[in-house]
Amino acid sequence: MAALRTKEYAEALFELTTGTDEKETGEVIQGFVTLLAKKGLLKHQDKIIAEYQKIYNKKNNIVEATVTLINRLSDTARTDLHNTLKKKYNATEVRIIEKIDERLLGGMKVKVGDEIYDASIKNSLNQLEIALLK
Amino acid sequence: MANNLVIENLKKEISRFEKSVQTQRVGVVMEVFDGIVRVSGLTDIKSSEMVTFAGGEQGVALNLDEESVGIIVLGDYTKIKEGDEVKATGKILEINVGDAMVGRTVNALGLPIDGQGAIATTKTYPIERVASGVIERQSVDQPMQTGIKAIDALVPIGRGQRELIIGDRQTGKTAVAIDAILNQKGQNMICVYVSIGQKDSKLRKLETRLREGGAMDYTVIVSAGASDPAALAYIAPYAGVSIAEYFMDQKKDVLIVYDDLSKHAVAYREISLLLRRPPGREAYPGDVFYLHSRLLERACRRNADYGGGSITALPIIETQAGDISAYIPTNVISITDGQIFLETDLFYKGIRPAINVGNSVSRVGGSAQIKAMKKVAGTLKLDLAQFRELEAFSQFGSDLDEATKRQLERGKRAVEMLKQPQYSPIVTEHQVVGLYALVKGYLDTIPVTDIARFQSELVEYVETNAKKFLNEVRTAKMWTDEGEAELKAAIDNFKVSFK
Repeated sequence: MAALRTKEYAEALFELTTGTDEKETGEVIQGFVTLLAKKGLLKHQDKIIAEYQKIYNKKNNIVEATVTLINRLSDTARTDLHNTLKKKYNATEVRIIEKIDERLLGGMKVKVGDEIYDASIKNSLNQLEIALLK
Repeated sequence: MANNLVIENLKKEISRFEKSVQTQRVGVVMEVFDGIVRVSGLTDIKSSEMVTFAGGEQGVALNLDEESVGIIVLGDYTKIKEGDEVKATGKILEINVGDAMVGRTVNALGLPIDGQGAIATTKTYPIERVASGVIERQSVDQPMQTGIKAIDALVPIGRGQRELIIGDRQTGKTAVAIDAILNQKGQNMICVYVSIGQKDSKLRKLETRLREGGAMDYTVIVSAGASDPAALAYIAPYAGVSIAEYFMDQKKDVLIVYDDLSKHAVAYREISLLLRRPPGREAYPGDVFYLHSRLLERACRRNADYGGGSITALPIIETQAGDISAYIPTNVISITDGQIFLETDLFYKGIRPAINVGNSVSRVGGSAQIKAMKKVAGTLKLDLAQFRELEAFSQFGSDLDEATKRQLERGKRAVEMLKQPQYSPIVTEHQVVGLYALVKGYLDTIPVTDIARFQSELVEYVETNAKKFLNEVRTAKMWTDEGEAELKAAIDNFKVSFK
C-alpha cells in the first residue's frame, strides 16, 4: 500500500538524518532522492515531506495547532493559546497556523493532530439545535 | 407565566452551550468505494465504534489498520467525498430499544420504516453483546409450541433452544417460521422477525399476514432489505437479538427468527472482501463461523436467579440444490441444537410442511415436550421409521404379509396426518387428540384421503364430548385414565357417525 510506504520512507529519512552534520545530511538526502527517483516515487514527495514533518514534530515534542476563526488572532489571545497548548501537550514548541473561515460565525476551532476543540458559535448552535429538537 | 418559563429555560440551556467546548477526535476520508470508507486519522478509535460523517451518515469502524481505519457506512455512501471530516462518537454501535417497538417494523438501526412515526424508546442496547454466561443459564425445559404437528410431535422446540430451519428455495422455510409466530398468540411471548436481504414485497406481504393473524400485537420486525447496503444486512440480526435481549431482561420469553442467515453470510463476505480481509473456503472470511456462533449463542434460557426469560432462535438457511454440506449450512448445523429439514421432493409430493422427519432432529427439545405429547409421539416416530424402511422395500413386490401391509397402511396415514395447511397452527391438545387416534389404530379403517377431514371433524366433536381429556392435557400436560376412557368413547362414537 502506498500510504504505508511513504510513512516508511519518511521514517527511514528521519532515522538517517538524526545526529548527522550538515555535510552528511546533504549526502543522505542526495542518496534518498536518487532512491525515490529510481523507485518512481518522486510524485509522492509531498506526502513524504508531510510525514517527515509529522515524525519530526512528534520526536521533538513540537505541537502544530491549526486555529480556525473568523478574523485574525489578537496577540494576547495568541500568547494565551500558545501557553495553554504548551502546557496541555507538554510541548517544547507550539506552532500556530491561522485559518480564516467566516462560516464559524464566531469563536474558534483548534485542531491538534486528530483532536478538535470546537468552541465555535456554529458548533454551539448545532448542539443547541439537537438539544432543542429532543 | 408559561412564556417566561420557556424563555428562562431557553436561556439556561443556551448558557450551558456557550460554556461547553468539546473535544472531538476526527479523521479525513481517503477513499470511498462500495459502502466502505477508508479514513486516515481517528487515532484511539475502538473496534465497532460509531462514527458520523459530515452529511450525518453513520458508520462503524471495522478494520483498525496501522495507517487507516476501514469503516462500513450504514446508509447512503454516495454523498461522502474524499477529504470529508469523520467524527468519532466514542460509542460502540448501539440501538434504541423499548416496549414501544412491539408492532413496529424497524431497520437495522432500530429506526421505524413503517411510516407510523417515531418510536418512543427508553433505553439503548449495544448491538454486539456478550451472550449470557453459564451461571445465568438453565437447561431448556419449557415447550415453545409452533402449532405445526410434525414439529411439535417429532422435533419439539423448547424455550431457549436454537433450531435451524434448512432447505432449498421454495420449500416453505419462512412459512414454518411464520406459523410459529402466529401460534404464539396468548402464549406470553414476544416475537422478533429479522428479515435479511429479502424483497420488500415479501416483507410487506408477511407483515400484512401477521397483522391479520393478530400477531403484530407481540411482534417486532427488523428489516434490512435487498436494496439496503450490505453493512445493514450484516448488523440486522445483531440488532434483532439486542431487541430480543431487552425483552428477555423484562423477564419475557422471546422467539427470534433470522430469515435468512445465508444472505447474512453473503453480506458479511461482501464487506470482508471489500475490506481486503483474506478469503477462505467459498470466499468467506476466516471468522464466518464466529459471525454466526456469537449471534446464536445469545439465544438462551436464563434461570430465575437472573430474572428468567428466554430467547428461542429459529435461524433459517437456504441450501442450493439440497447441498447441506456447503460451508455455511454445516457451520450453522453444528452451532444449533437441531435442525428441521425441508425438502423439495416432499413439497411437490404434496407433503406440506415438507419436513423430512428422518433427517430432522431436536437435540434438547425432547425434555421440553409435554408428557402427553411425548407419549403419542414416541409411537408415531417408530411407525414412521418402520414405514420408511418398508416403503422402499415394498415397491419391488406386491406379495406382502398381513403385518407388513398393516404397517404400510399405518405409515401412509401417519404421513397424511402430519400434513397441515399454511397459516393454520393447531393447539397442542388438538394435536394430541389427532395423534392419539392415529397411534391407537383408530384411523386404520379410514381411507387415506379422508384423514385430514376426519381429524378436523374429530377435534370439533371431541371439543364438546371429551372436555375432560382436553382440559387435562391443557393444564396438567398429561391425561388420566378417566380422561383417556372418555376420549376413547368419544372417538368410537365419532367413527360411527363419520362418513
